[in-house]
Amino acid sequence: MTIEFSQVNKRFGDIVALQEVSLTVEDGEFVTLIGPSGCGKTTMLRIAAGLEEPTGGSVLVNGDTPRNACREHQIGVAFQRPALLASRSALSNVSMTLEITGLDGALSPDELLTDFGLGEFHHHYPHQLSGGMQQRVNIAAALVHNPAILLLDEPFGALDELTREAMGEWLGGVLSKSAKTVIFVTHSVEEATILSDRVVVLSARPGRIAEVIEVGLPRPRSRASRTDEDYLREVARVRTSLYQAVELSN
Amino acid sequence: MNDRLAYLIMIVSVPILWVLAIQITGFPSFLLPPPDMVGDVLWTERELLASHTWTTIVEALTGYAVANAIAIALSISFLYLPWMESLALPWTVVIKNVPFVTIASILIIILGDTPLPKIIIVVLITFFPILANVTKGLKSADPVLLDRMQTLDSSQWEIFTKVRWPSALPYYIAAHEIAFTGSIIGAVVAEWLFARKGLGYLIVQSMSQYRADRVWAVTIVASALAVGAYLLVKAIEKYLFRWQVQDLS
Repeated sequence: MTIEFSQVNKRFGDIVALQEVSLTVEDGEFVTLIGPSGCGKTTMLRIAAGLEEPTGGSVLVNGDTPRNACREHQIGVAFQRPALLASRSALSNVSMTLEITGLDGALSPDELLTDFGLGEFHHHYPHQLSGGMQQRVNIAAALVHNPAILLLDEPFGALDELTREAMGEWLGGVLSKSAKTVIFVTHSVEEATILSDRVVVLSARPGRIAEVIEVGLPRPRSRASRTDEDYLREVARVRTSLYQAVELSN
Repeated sequence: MNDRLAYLIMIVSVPILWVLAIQITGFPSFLLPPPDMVGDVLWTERELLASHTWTTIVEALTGYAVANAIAIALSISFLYLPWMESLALPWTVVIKNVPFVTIASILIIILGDTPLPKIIIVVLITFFPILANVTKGLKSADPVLLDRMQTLDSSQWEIFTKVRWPSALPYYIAAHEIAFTGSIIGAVVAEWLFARKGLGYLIVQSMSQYRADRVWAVTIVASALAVGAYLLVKAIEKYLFRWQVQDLS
């Protein structure tokens, strides 16, 4: 599954959220969108999810519209705030995706939660789980129907630094077992570098692509590689580019 | 302190305060009857009280069911047809604020001594809290959940049953706390204005016969009914939201 943005424009009233954005995310590729606030990274993700319509240009998911990709249950989304029902247990929140899509047995909610280290928490309600656990349930709910595409909007943004690193490593592990085409939005340069094949740096007002950086690091990557010289060099590259994008934004 | 113990203390305190009030004021028993006299009325006239109580309960429940049906239907229409909400707003403001005793009088002139004016009064009193709460509750659904539902290509029906209605449920139960008790008070007041049956009527009749003991008996029955309605709602709330208090371990 590929995701192709062609000269996408998006306006909200007088505000130009996206201007002439073109980007192709290849099958099985992990692409991160990073940039100052107001650069339109979330808007790009929402357009790819079919939650917003572009004002101009087009977005194609495997040659079809995002809405149709949703109809075929090809897209899983997770946001910074977990999309969980307070009155359903962790397991029931994950199963809800299967109830809606009717894709029974795509993956087992039970096994998925256990895989995600939540073996003892199947019957806990969201308010009984920590932020990191809630986010794992949330991502399980986004993955359980086995979509080819995963769209993640700052899923670890509300977590503390150490939990965030652990969750990043965990997500890398999940995706190494079952490759997906991923668009990931983050504010963290380190997170972008360790997880991505490519980092797309956006600048704001109007939101546009400033630079696309290929991350030259071998996989699998773990938390240990966060202290590698190669890793630190790539982080510095992304950070330099981000600073330039911020300059462009003003 | 334990809730049950607090209720027990109250139930025991009422007759004590009652007797104290009689001692202090020195009112004769035809003005302020002692608890045992009222207890006597509750027992010897139990069939009369029960039959009038039943009338009141039927009116209250009928009116309340109608109010729920209309309020929920309207709330749902507001969700999907915003112009309905704008159209209904002045009506709801008027219904909420016009003194219902005057409307009751008008209804009694038109409809006479039938259950209908009482039921309409109950509807008018209880309808608004349900409408306001359910409308707010349905709109309180988490936008993040709605986005998730949309990307899964859910039908409007699934979005309603799985996300909107569960989000509205706590608001709906909160409305019952106010409105269910209100339905009993509404029925009693409507009967009090004009009726030949029901607890409200029994108050009027007893007052005209200077039967203070029976007025007190009716007061106790009507209060028990209203408090019982409230406690029933609380019990249902506790059952429905039992997951909220479930222990972590």
